[in-house]
Amino acid sequence: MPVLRLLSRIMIENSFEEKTMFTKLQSKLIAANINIRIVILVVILALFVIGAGAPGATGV
Amino acid sequence: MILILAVIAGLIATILRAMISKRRLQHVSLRLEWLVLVAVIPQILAFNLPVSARLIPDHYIPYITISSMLLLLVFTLRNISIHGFGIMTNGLASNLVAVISNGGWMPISPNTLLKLHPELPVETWKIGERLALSKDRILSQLDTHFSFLTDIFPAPNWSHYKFAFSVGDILISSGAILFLWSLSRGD
Repeated sequence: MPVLRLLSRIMIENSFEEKTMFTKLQSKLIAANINIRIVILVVILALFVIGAGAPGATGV
Repeated sequence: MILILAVIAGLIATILRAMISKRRLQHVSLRLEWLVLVAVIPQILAFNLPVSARLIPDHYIPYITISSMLLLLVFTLRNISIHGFGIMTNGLASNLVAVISNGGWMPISPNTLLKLHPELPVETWKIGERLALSKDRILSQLDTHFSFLTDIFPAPNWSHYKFAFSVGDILISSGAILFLWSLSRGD
């Protein structure tokens, strides 16, 4: 049981760290006037541009 | 991948504009966003990831390219009233005409390749072969339909990354920049 207790403690601490990191990233983006919806919009646009464009790279 | 530079440039410009004018970037609701994912994933597998691209036989490429571009055309037409989408639709349609009229491939001529790589003999480029893992096929100008819509513009000499692009690519990049620029409008 102590092992289980230790594992659950590690998991809680890790998820807390992830949350903190996410919150920090989010606040940085908000500070730069970018919210997550804008990020998704830009990703969609980037994917569209990849699919619609047809530049030929020689790979040489 | 080179068109991504246009998106990055547009994004930097619009963020700077928003910061200077102390505005927030506006979110624009696009219709059928999911269609972009559905359309582009097969293309990423066929052209952008070397591991999967080598596994896909060349005779499947025209089906992947044309069906994917048609889905993207539906997406742009559904959003045509949004800033930049008119230009992007024209660019996509222009590339699509070039691809469909040339058997599902974007043609590139040995002359264009020679401009990109003057150090290599012209025999390096064999007519009918696929150009690396791209959407392009090497075709002589005489055998190319709508040659003015194909990859006829070589990258500048100073560019380390050697590529050629089409009128459609220019329009798509311009439309993307215009769309991103519109996100920092004041109204």
